[in-house]
Amino acid sequence: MKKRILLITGLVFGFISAFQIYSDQTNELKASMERGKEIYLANCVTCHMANGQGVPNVFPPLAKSDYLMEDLDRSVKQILYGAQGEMKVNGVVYNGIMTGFDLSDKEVADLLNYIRNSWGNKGEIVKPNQVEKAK
Amino acid sequence: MKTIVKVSRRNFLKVSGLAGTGLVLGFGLASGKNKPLNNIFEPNAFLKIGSDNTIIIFSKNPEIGQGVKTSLPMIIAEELEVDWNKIKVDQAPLDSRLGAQFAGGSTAIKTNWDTLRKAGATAKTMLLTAAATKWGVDAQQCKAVDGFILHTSSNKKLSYGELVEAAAQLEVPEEVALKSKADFKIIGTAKKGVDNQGIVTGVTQFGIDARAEGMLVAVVEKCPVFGGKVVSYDASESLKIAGVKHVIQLDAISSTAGLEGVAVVATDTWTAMKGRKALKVTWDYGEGESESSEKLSKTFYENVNKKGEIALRKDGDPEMAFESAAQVHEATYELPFLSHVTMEPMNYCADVKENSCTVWGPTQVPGSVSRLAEMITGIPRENIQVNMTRVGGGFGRRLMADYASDAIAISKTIKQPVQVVWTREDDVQHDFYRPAGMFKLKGALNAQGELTAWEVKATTTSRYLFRGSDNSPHATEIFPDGFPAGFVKNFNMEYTPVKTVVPTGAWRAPGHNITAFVDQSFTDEMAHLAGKDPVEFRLELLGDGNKEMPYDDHGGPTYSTGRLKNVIKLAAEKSDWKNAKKGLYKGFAAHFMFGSYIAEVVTISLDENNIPKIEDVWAVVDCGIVVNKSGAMAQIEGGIVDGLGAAMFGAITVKGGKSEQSNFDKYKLIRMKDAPHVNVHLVDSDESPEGLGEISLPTISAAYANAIFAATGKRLRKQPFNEYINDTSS
Amino acid sequence: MATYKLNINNQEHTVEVSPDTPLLWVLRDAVGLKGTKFGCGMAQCGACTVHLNGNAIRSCSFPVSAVQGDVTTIEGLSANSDHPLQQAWVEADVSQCGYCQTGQIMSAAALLKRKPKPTDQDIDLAMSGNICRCGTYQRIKKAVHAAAEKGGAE
Repeated sequence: MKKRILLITGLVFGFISAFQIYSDQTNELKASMERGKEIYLANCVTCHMANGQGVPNVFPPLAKSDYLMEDLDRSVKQILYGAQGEMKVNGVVYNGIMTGFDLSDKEVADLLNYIRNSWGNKGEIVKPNQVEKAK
Repeated sequence: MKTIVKVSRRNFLKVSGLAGTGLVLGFGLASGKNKPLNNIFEPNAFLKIGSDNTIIIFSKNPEIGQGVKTSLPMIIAEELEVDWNKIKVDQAPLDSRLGAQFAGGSTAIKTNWDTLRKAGATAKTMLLTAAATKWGVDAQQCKAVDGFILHTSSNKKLSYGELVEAAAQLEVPEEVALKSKADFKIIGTAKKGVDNQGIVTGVTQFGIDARAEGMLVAVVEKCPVFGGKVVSYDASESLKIAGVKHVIQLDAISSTAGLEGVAVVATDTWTAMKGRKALKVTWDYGEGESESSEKLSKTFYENVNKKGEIALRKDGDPEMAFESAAQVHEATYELPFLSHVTMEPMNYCADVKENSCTVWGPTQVPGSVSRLAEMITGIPRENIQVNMTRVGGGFGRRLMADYASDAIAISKTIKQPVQVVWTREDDVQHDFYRPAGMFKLKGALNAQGELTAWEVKATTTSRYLFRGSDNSPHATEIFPDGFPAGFVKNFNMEYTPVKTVVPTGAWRAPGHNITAFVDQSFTDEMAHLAGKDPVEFRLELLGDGNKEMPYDDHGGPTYSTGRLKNVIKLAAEKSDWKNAKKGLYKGFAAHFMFGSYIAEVVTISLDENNIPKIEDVWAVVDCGIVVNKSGAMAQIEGGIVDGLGAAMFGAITVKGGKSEQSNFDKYKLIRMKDAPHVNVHLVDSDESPEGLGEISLPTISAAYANAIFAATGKRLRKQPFNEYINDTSS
Repeated sequence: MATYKLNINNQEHTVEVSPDTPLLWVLRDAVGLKGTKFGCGMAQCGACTVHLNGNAIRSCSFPVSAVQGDVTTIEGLSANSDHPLQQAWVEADVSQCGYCQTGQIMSAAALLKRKPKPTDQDIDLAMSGNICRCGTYQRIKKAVHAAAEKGGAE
């Protein structure tokens, strides 16, 4: 429903091209985030929790996470290949193991768009070709 | 024991159930709280009927997911003439009265078919006689219907329960009449698994769920390098952990029956695992350390490019045929080790006492466990009770009872009941893998595009060689009588076994899971070379009419070309093979195995990035009479998904003498999104039932690879496919 | 060792275990709820799936010390063992060996809660963390759809 309203909005103001680009981008990001949320709920929620808060001292937070937002390429690698060893997130040192996930470039992009734009995070839209490059 | 019966051996058997000898599982493993029945009719060890109309049918074999706990009792229930919904099925323990009890080789239905029918029919006949005697009528005028005996002309009716006492007095008849197929009411229908409700509510006990009073839990550290030995260990840190009770060294039994290791025994599983982490073991890796997949692959390559060690079959004059051929084609296929990774990791329970021993847990071979228990404890087998739990997957892994040895040895030492639990890492790293190998195929065509010569040079890490068995090392690795042998005038098959420290064993459809892929892929290659339709090419080779081909292996002594052609034709018809649809590509494969016949078709599409997607799979199976339609279809569907997954993702690679994979992060299994929909067609047949649990697996990798060729022109000759699909070198 | 009060299937359980004990082993060994299975110990196979505050989590990798809120296991999924998913699973004769199925059902239950009418793709994705070596995936999918039809979100 929301998508349709946005689409109509886009059509009405269609001739204002700048707005249209903005609107398309928003639509694209929203759709990607929606797909990403499902991927998140299937794979990530088990440790990082539904609100992205993680678990104190056990699983690092994604919500308002400096570590997450500072390095996109690193996030891509961690999602695909896993991570282990010490990492400092918002001043707290974590030392756990995360296993990698079998996801396509598009799925990784969707997932990143969701976690990088939820719970107070704000990031640029990530495209599948960026994932391909970062692998 | 209330009933007084004639003292004869047979009568003893009939009522022995009263005392419950071996019929109720110990340690709270009984699936229900059965009150001891006042009056029981037990004409054989397969069933019990109580005067309260309770009917219990025992399932003799281990249930590993192949569905025997439902299908075997269905056979008894059919002849017993009872309402399927009113019976109770219990898992039997190991009991010599029940005959061989194991899960392997797709044999449960075919080898028990006659016995189980007779078991049911015997009970029914005795109940009929009892009723007829009571009424003073001819038994011929009575019939059994849904747990009652009816006297047709007088409308008299007695339930089985009401006849129990009288039936128990009768001699067991030597011969009984069996029903004809036309009268079957249960066999051939779709019955749901008898444990379904328990499984979905978490109530059904698997081996890992078993508990006994005072039971401890053990985990065992084994040498990561195959064949390594314990030099010394330091348990001081482990023993500091609260809850860790013992750390003990286990001696090796043999390379297949139990490796040496160090066991950490604790009050609960997690504590045992922590205790193990704190354990320091020094190992002597031995020679195993130099073994690797890379090295093995080089050996394979040398082997298939020289004269094979064992000449398995030679028909005609292959050399001459290749020389005079219009076209000759060669291709080399390579297959990796595979792990079994049953979802329930290895585990077993044992309670060894001074003069007796009770063991229980998931196994495909309760008899082997009993033998091992005798060997380890010195307790005679008659004092060893082997109970069976539901098994969370077998696939051949649990034909080995090495993990049961761990439990028996530990319990003997600590004089307490113990459950051994292997972690997934233990499971993947100490498996008996599907052998790895290489197959070089060579085919010749004459000017008419007819197949005139076929040569196989094969090499695998023979599992019988690993075991040190008397069997020829080619046994269960390659099949000299398999298609297309016998249909090509000039034929040559050579085999070279490879000895390795890497443990190998039976993995669902042993041998066939490689040979069917290789033979059915190369058949497709030759068909394309000949410019012929792959289905027509196969039918042409098989020739007209029906021939019984000699097949000197499991599933033999012969197989029928008529039945094989029938499944091929049906699969082509059901899948609309001849009609090409835009953007859809098809692959075909067919096979005879374990007495049954199968043909499979895979349809794939390619997305914008040329990534293949399976659109549909067809499988046509002729396994003779089908007992449980739902279970049979489940086996076909599951085997196809399993076979595809293994071919696409599965590989154990060895480096430094150990498996590089240890869990599902690196040893990939197929997941839902890659599992296709399967259309199963079971051929309606009056032939005796044959093996079904493994047959759908071997051909699917070939059908898929052949579909990939149809779509892309690329041959997938090396598994796992997903690793080599973009490799242009092979 | 530490003492934890856990709310499992709407019942309070007090357990004394080491803080790093995964919830899985607390459930199985301390509380005695063995419907939750051990499969891999690293959140890869889903056999240990339970709900924490309604979300599907892998209990094998979740330390008991981090549990806050309500835990639901297969034993507590329905009051009378008749959750639409459980019924659908029996009806579709999904189980082969059956070992992974409680985890599969818990993942499916979490999905239906947030998507009462899931598409095939929704199911593929939501169930991607659950492995079945017997290959029962298509029957699982069928059962999830059937349960959704019957209002499986409850």
